[in-house]
Amino acid sequence: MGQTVLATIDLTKKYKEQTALEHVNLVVEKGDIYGFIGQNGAGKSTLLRIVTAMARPTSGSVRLFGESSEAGLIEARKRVGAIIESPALYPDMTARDNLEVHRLLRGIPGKACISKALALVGLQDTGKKKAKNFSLGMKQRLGLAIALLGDPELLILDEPTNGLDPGGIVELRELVKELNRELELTILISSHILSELHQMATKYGIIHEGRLLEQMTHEQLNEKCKQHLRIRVDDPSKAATVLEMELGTQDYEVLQDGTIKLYSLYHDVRRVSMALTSSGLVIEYFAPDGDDLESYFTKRVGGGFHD
Amino acid sequence: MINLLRMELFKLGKNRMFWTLMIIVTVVFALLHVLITIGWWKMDNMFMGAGLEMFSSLALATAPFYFMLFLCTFAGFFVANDFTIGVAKNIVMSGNRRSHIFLAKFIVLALGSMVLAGVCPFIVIIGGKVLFGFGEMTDPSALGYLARAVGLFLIHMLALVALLMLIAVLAEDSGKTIIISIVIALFISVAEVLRPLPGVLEAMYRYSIFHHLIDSFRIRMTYADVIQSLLVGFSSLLILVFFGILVFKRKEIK
Repeated sequence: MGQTVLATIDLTKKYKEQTALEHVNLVVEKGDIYGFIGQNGAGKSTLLRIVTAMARPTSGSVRLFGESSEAGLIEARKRVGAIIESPALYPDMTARDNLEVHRLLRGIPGKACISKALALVGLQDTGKKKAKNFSLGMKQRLGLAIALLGDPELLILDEPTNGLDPGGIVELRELVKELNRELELTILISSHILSELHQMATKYGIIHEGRLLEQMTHEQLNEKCKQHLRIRVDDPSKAATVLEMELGTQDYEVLQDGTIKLYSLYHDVRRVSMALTSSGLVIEYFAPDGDDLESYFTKRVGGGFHD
Repeated sequence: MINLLRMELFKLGKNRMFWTLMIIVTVVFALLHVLITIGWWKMDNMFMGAGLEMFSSLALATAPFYFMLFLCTFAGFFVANDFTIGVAKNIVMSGNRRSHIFLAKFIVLALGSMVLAGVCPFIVIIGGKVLFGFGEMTDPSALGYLARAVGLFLIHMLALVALLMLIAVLAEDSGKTIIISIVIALFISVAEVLRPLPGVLEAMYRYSIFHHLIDSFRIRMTYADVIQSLLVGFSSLLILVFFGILVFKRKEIK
């Protein structure tokens, strides 16, 4: 298990009668690209706002880089870069001036970091153009440059692809991967677009109606979504022998209840069933199974997941 | 805190409204100063009585509606606008104490306000005298009065800036901040005309920064008056800054 960068402990947030977060225990470890998935209004932004000190929890706590005291959290937040909801920019300032504000705020010596951040997001040639005249994609990239100023160790991106065109989405995805790979940056990225997260996240957390339903690694998710034949027979160990000896496959798994998940021969249903029945096994259940990412999440959130 | 101050000063330098107001204040003062000096505008005021005729245009500073108008516009665009455009969240999430964020903002807002309310008019007056020989000073010994009056005025103005800062933090919108402040300024102007106010209102007004702000320029003040004015100014300043920090600390940033 890696070093925990961010953990929320029983985090709860209530607005009068409405519960926005309910006992959320989220864990982000060093090096993760943590995909935080949930419908609009599921509680993603509320959690990120609490982590970044924009809102206070009703109960529970946040631990950031091992710090959970108020003073410790203030210091720890200096190691975090974030874009929450939308990039916040000074519209009458240029990209360089916007970055200068944040350089002074963070007390970063020298102005080299500004050119570096602008180059990283491809905004080095914007000159005297003011932020109010930027396209949505450029604003998003400037927001990212601000978040990256001062080389943070944790980058929090809340719905970062909002308003980006397909090319911009691809660019952002590649940049996130590169930052994670080259700078070993831990990234917490929230989105309601599953396909987008699936292409970059190494770990997932699913939030629905303020409750964190599940956390899993990319591998665990793929495993859960892998297409297979789900077989239940009267003698699982004999069935395993048949699969190995007659069908020549070891790409299966016998679950605790005796159910067999056969990952290979998915498209050769007839051959598998023939082999099992001809060996005298009684087939109780035999069906193809497995989800694509979207249908998996739809199942987890009770059929209500959609973009 | 130093980082926050440097950032706020940089933002002040880039704030177009601040520069616009500075030009307006300077032009209005210069115009008024010229009109009074050439005798086109006859006015009796405390500076005439004190033998400081060349400072007569400063009487404009004692009109609450006038300085509230540009101070609240400045506060609206310098403080509340941070909430409107959302940049307040960047500052809050940067790993600085909210009390420091508030204080840095207040200090720079106060500096900007002093430039607008004090420095610009004095530059016009002194510049007019040095360059064009505008104005007279029949009693230079009255400069002590001027120093006392301006000193008291600045203390009460700081308290007023703290009030504007509190309004801006509560309103989170430059338009609302300006409207609320103008309504307050209107009430003060009306109250000043209607004095003495009925019952407890008169007592409340007498111990308010609004009254003392105007009263700062009174020619004859006893030591007790000065101490009372200082007490009202400093206590109001501390209370308003304290409440401002309290409100800002509890605020959920949108």
